[in-house]
Amino acid sequence: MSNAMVPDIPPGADAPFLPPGTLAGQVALVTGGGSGLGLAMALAFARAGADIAVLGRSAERCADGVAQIAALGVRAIACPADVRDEAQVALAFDRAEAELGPVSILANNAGGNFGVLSETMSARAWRAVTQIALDGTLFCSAEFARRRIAAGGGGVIVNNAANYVWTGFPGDAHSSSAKAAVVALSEALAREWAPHGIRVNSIAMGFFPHSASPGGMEPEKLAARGRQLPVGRVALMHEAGWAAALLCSPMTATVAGQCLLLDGGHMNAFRGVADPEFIPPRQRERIL
Amino acid sequence: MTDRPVNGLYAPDLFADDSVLIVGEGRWTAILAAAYRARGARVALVGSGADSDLTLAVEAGDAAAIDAAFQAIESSLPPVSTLIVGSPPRRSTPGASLTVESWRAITGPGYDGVFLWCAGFARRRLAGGGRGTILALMDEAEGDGLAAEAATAAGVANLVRTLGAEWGRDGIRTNGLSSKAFGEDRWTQAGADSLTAMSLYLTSPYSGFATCGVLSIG
Repeated sequence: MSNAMVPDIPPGADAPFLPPGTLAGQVALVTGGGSGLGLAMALAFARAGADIAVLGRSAERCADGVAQIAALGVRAIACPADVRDEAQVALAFDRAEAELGPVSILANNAGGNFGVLSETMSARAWRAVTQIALDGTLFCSAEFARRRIAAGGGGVIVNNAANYVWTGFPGDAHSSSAKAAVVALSEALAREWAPHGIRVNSIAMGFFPHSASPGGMEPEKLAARGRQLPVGRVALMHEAGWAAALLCSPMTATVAGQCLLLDGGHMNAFRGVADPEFIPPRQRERIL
Repeated sequence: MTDRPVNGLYAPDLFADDSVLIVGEGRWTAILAAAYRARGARVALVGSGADSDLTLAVEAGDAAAIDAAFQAIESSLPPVSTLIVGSPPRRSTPGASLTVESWRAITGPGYDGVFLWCAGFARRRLAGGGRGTILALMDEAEGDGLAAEAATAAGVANLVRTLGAEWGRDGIRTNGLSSKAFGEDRWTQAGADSLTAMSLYLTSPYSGFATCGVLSIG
């Protein structure tokens, strides 16, 4: 038996996803929203009608993202800030709420990562990754929740996690442990803030290539990475945006404390012992 | 109903080329059958509780009967490209008095049956060269008297993770949703909306990178 074995190409970024106006009247603050996954989330929220505040360390990158978001016809502002600094986070929320209104959706996407051997990792290198991913997620979430609890209007948080949160990732101890902590934090906060109508979920992202990824966006290298995955392709940024927008929509009001896996089957793709790539069991010389 | 946001999710013809096979019993079958039919799908039902384009009775656990059911469906409807298969209603039997018969009353349709329906679906899709999506629905059973239900749900969850990888390269994605509501057959409007939204998403082209996942809808 065989099948097409040609990767399925998803609809384009501008394909209608959530009905227009689903998030109208809401303000979403997206950390790291000037590029990559954060921008994809921000664009998906904006297409559903939300106004957007982009929080990031680079004012230039925030501005680039804001320009793309505003082109969709919503209000968008840049709030340059470092998520590791509680005071800066509070000021960013102040600014967002002064210009756009109460923030009712928070996407904790800010992150950074680099491969490093654990025995050689400095405390600074460790903290560079863990404090953005974990401390930053907590600081922004707590700031968000304080305001939402005071306002009494509920809210939604979606956190960017990774598909290696259940397995670890050799050479990536800082990110793999921090992202696992983010998933656990999401579960804990979902329980803690459920009485206030605040939902918290996370998305375990797989490989979403961008220009700074190993191999960049070279088609041959992307195709090779895709062959490592059961679905046969790497992800497109806007697929992450769709997932985040759905989890932040009123359509999923009972979904809380959950982690949506979005990795093309990567973490479940046990390769055959002799196989350098993921080859479906049916095509292997030996099944295991 | 029309003013609920989930009713506007996706174009009314998103599944117009598809047949969706729903296997199971309970109110969830009606919720999902209506959702897919409203988006153009033809719905075949093995079970009860929903309006469908075709309803069949199939012996649970009989692989040959499952293959015959696919043939019967596809003789009158478009090929089945989406399979939604759920666990049976709870029986709540204390573990100490759990007989083989009561164990199999749950694990037969809920565990063996889910696998056999998935395998039958995959054989059909592989033979026909078409893509497909599988959505397995699990009862979040925990507590006294629910050993068979809990074991069934855990087994199906890892089945989802395995089949998603095994058939992913063939264009067959497999995901799962869990909820106590499947076992208790009690649905709030918000719960029904979450079921609808997540089901439509996970079986749509918008979730093409999602496979092997299991998520609770509360």
